[in-house]
Amino acid sequence: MSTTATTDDDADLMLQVREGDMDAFTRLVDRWKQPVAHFVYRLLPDADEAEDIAQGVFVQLWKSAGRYERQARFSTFLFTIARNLCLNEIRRRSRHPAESLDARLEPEGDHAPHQFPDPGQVSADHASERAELVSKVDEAIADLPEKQRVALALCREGELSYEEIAVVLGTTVPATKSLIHRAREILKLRLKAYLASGAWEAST
Amino acid sequence: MTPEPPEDWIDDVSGPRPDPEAIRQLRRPGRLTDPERRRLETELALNELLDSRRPPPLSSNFTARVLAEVARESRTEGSAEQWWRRLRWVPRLVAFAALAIVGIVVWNSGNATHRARLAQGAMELGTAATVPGIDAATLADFEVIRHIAASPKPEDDALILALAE
Repeated sequence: MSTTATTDDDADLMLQVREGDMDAFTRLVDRWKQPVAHFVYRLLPDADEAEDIAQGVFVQLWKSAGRYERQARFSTFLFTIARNLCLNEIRRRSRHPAESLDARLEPEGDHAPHQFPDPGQVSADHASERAELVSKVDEAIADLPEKQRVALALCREGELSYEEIAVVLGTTVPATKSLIHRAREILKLRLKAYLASGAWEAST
Repeated sequence: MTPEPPEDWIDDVSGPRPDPEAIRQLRRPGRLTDPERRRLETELALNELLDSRRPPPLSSNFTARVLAEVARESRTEGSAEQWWRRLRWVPRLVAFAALAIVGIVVWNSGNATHRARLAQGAMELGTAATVPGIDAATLADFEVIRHIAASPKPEDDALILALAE
């Protein structure tokens, strides 16, 4: 999807949503549901929960439509809502670890095929390597400082420019670049062995 | 550890929407030094590793679920608004009650002052009735009563004393 091509469209649709137009809202949901779900999943790597939170993002978008101004890029408005909901969830989890949705997940062995549905094609060894790799990546990302984690997620989602990411984070472009750079440096150190071996390629 | 600031090409490769053509150019022989080339490959490997964590596709009814939730929220908000509309008379009633209370208090206080004045007037009249030389006929004359001072002047006291002797 080209963000620049849809920017004006999205702003127009959002103005219609502000007037209560449900068709315009449906078009926005259809257009943005994947990027939002991917972004949420990068911060909270549980597929079911990511979908629930993505749903919450769009409900919040509807409720906040009255506050939308034409000057604001729709994508930054949307991802600011998504960022806030994700951070709320992360903080809620840290306050009440016992209530974490992770605790309600099935054991990892049962969960892994759900994340990577590749039925019958992948050998047990590869699936196991893949699960281990993903778990290491998730772990390394989860250990990043909150701002770096969000900056990296927004960056990898690929829908936003540095300028837009800076707006969502409420910071400057150089500070955003620095956050992303530092996050990547930490990940490169922690995942050095996997990066050198290309393990993710072998197991996909 | 404080990493060095990224160089421009690293920014392009590790930032949002890396341009495949720019990457192809960077990979051309002689474009980068060996350490730079290794760094480029590591950055690209990290990109691939991060992008390999894709969630499964969303449920087919995702949009329908969002719309249902929005409709439910709108109904809840609608009924909350109706309640608010129903309760809109409450502030008016409170304002009216406050005004009425203030009115009653002011009226009561005015009444009490008036009564106190009457009582004081009656008391002064009683005092005046005991003064020798003032008969009932004089007291009946309102104009005379009105001109009697609230308390006798010193010269009146002296005159009264002299008359009494």
